[in-house]
Amino acid sequence: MEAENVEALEGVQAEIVERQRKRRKTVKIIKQDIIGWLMGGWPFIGAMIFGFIPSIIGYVLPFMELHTFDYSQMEFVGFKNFEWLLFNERSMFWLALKNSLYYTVSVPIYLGIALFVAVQLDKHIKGTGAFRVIMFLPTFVSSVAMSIFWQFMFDKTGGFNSILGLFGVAPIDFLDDELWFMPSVIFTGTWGACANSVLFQAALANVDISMKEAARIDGATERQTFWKITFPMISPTTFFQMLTSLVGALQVFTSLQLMARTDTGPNGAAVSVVLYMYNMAYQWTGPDYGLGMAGACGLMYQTVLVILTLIIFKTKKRWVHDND
Amino acid sequence: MTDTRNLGSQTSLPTKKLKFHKPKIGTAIFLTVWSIYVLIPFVIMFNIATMTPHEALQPFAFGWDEGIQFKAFSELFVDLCMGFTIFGAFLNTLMYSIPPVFIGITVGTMAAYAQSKLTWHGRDFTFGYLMFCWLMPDCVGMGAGYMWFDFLGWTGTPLPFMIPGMFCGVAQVFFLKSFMSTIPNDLLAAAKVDGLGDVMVFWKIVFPLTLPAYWCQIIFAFIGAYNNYLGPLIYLEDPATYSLQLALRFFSVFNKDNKPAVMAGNILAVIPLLIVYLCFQDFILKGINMGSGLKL
Repeated sequence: MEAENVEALEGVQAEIVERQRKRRKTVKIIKQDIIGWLMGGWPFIGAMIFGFIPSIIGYVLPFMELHTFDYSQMEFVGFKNFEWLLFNERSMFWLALKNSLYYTVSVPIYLGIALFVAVQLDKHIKGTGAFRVIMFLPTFVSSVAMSIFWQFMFDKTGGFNSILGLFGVAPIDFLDDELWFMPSVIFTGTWGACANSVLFQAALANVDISMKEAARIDGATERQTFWKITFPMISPTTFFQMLTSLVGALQVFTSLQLMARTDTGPNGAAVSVVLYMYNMAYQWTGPDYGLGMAGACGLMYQTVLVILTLIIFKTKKRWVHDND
Repeated sequence: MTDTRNLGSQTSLPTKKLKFHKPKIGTAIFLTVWSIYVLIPFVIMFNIATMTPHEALQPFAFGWDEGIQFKAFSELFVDLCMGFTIFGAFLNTLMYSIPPVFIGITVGTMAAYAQSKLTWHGRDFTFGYLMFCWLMPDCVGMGAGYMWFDFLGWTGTPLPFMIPGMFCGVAQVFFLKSFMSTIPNDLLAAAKVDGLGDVMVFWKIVFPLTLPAYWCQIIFAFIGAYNNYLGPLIYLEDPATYSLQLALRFFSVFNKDNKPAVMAGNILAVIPLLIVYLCFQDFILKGINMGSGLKL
């Protein structure tokens, strides 16, 4: 009897201890969660408020008709906005898509410049430190200031026409000519392209020097060594740069908007998809334009970009040499 | 990995002279020419800014035929009937960029600590969601974002491009997190044994060790905020509240014939960041390489 009691008591005690331990553990976990969310939850909360909610609106807005910023006049119209964008003859969507694709010509040019500069800096000639500082400098210069500068240079009486005039070429109005506009804008970007070389520089510095030396001893020329060894070794960096620049180039807005003298540039040559959206949302008024139409354009374009990104990711193995 | 040893199966070294130290004249010429290309816009800007307006409109304007003068710079402080002055816009920009940058990056450092050194429910989910958002191209936002901020009553004020920055972007968290992963966990465990809580471990140990990355991110976030053009363009309405980039744009549109003043504005816009860069160039260039461990 006595022994049984003691045993039962011990059992109860053990249970209490166990329960207390569990509770302490729960309290500890709750405390950890509170601290974790208080310290680490802010970016997520920000993404929810300023990313998630607008994106929900962004999926509803394209199906609405909304010409002014008076939201009480909003009405549901189904796929009318999409239809207008795709099939109406006054819609500039296809032109905008063409211009955006045209602008992606700049991606290989800029990356080529960045890579070439990085390779030259990697040779460590005297004064490389100073060159490196200069090459990174465009990062710090605002695109607005530079575009104003380039506008002056491309002017009919500006720097480039003055130089061309020396060779007897008649002045070209670069920014008011349909054919010259986009090449001019792409040219202005070459000025800042060398700033991207820093990322290639780090990749180049990580290439195993012994492999390069082995290839050299076997008689490979400098060019062969670069294309057969260095280039495959840095391909992950190139891939990442390519992807981000491509998606960035397809969303080009600032450089075109700043260089164009009108909303659309000469004959619509400046209208990229994002610039078209901006114009429809904020610049142009009329029964065809407004936030709803811009939203429809954005939703379609975003779908295209997401599919493109996924395709590039799926085919990543074909482009990238696996270093591991 | 290609096995390079197999390539070298010959018994004797090639007789051709090894070209490890050939003179690099081509490299030197290329880098010099390209550096001149990068620097010459500043020379031309300064040149035009110090001309007379009349001279600047002539074709092939270069040099100072009518004498060097700095009158254009004083026009930056004067309102040329547009409702703003370039200098006032410069002060606006500082007001719009400094608080979000400091708050944002501090929040980001804290978040990076919580992401890399603490365990809590929702940690992996929140980070995964942020990464997902990062990879999604975002062009829906142009219309819908405006509508949301309009609903909040923030349009016409700088809040739409100030407040989101205070919550820190995922790119910065990602960078700081990868930097923090180099701090050994044993160090933090030792501190906890000595009785420091999670928050104090962050404040006393992790934060001081992360300071280089922290300042690097501050500088880059500041550049981004200082050069931000799209946000102010969409949301600001009153000319008196214009940010510097926006003011520059309108200044150049309204003053087409006053080239020196526009160029002087450009110089004012560019100089502060260039000074920051030249003062901290070593630190900044190293900072980029800190984050270049980025792999997909």
